[in-house]
Amino acid sequence: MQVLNFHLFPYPPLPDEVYAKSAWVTLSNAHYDEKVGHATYNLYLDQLELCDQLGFDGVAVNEHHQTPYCIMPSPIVTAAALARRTKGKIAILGSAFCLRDHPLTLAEEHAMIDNITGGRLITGFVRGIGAEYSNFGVNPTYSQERHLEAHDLVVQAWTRPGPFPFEGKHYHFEYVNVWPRPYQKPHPPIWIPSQGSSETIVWAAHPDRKYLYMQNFNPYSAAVKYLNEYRQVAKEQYGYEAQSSQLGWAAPCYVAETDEQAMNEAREAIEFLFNKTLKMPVGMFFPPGYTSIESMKRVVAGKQSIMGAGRNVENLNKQGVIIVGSPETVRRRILEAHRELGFSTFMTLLQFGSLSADKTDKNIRLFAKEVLPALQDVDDRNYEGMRTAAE
Amino acid sequence: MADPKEAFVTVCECRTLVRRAGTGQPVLFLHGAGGLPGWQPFLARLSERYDVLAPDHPGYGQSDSPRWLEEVADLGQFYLEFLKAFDLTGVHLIGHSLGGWIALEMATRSTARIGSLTAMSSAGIRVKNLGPPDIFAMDPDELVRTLYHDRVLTEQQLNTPPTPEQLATITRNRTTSARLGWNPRFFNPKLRKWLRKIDVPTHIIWGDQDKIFAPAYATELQNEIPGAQVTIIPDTGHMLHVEKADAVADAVVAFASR
Repeated sequence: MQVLNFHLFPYPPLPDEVYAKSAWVTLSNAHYDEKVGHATYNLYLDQLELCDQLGFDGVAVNEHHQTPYCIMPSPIVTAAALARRTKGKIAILGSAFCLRDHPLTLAEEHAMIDNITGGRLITGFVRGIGAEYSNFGVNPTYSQERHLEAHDLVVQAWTRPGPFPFEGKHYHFEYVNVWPRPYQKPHPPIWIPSQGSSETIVWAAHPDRKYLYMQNFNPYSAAVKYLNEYRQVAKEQYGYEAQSSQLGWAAPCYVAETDEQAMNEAREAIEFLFNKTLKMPVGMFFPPGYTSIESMKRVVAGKQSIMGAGRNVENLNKQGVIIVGSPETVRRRILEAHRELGFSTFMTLLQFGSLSADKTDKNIRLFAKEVLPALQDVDDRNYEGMRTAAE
Repeated sequence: MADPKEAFVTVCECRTLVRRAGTGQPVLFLHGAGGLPGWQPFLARLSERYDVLAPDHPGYGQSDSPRWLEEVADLGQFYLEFLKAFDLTGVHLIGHSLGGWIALEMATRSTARIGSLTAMSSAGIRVKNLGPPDIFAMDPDELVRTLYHDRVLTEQQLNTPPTPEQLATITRNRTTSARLGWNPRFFNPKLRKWLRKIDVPTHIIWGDQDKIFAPAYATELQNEIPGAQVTIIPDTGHMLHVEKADAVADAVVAFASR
């Protein structure tokens, strides 16, 4: 399998009370310090370059807006900074094309990076999280429609000789004629990172697309459910066998000398990530129309007013949201997951939350030395095949 | 007081629930973003003197969600067709909040069937630096506290959790409100310039404690709509016709029967 290291570019911790109400949308940028920012950006870029040097198949970057959870509103900028200093793949997971009124600017930028790197770009299509519909003033009730339409626009812009008009409901352009066209043909691989959605799987698995579906930072049970669902949908709905190359799994990892030491070293940073920087009002996380009416009902009914509280490293590790332990433990757990699910791509997150430069460096080096080679060694021959209910 | 008759009518291919009671000149009441939970005392009071029609808007309550529903202007167009379908003339048009916005959209298009216009705590325009709070980010309790000023009513609301059916309706109403009012937030930037063309008697009623649209909105609307009259209801929040049903009904009747 191929292994990528992902980075969220979290802003270093601020005083606890700053996150009390929300780490998104309303947490004032008055708390931002440009000197901290300068150092942080360069530290994180160094970490990604180190991964490239240590043999990871690639690095991955992300997009979030107006939050210290992730100070990477433009993954394009990060990818551009990495383009000439890395050899491996650069995955933008993802770009929220549909948050833009003019997704073609992103299509152009992705194409530039693909050309500069000679085809090392992977493109991710995401809708952006609920809160970002507040940041951008984009109507969340059109989120899904805009997402699908922006996708069609961008893929056509990359593949169809221009100029041509694009006549959509949300996007209408008389001249689509993007220079440059992508380096890769027909276009950079498209990956679909998701928190788990049957609708998304049915769309991604369609024979016209066959996009890689990446189950992101959820309990392991969700990976089992959705990756198997992808194979089932391909077979039962579309009549083809999904390849493992269409499946990915993502989990933050922390490796230390022993299981106990790993837990102790990861605890503060991971709990900071989940309990502080993911905090926001539920209504902001699930704006109306962003999810199905059924999920919305739970939101409206809920007296719970804040997301992201009360998670601890033990539970997260037990659920398989994160993988923390000795090299042997981390290796075994990922290989076991691969044996069960057969994904072709594993994406980890070796810096998370408030994890310090030293611990991150140690984590990257230990992972690269003790875990990475064993993962890169396995392929479909190690996949035991989908279990049926009877087994 | 007589119970209203409830009937479904189809206007603009949309099956629409209409509650109707009373006799006299027609009143069309247009509810706010929260929907119309039933025949409220305010409507009962009006039905003592008028033929009151209170529909669920397309996309709300028991009415269908038509494919054409994209913005409040669509509802303005819809209700002009609605008045035509019922062949109503000289209508006293009353809109609360989102419903006020719909009424303004109607009146800037045609007042041929409108006798008077009453906008209560109305959405539709923006007073700079006085935008409404983010009702979509609020949890349900915070929303109640923001909508109501009356403490007894607030407590009552907080202590009455919705039934599963009500919850489904609330969720759908909320989604439709987001479609119509997410951005620009509960106003149409192209509406204000046409307000001066409204040529029917216009009454603006506001709660002085409105935490959604501050009373400055009443003044702003008065400045834009020729001859508009303002009534401020004291110690009252955004849900003025629920909080002060009698006072608001009295104000409506006094204006409409001039």
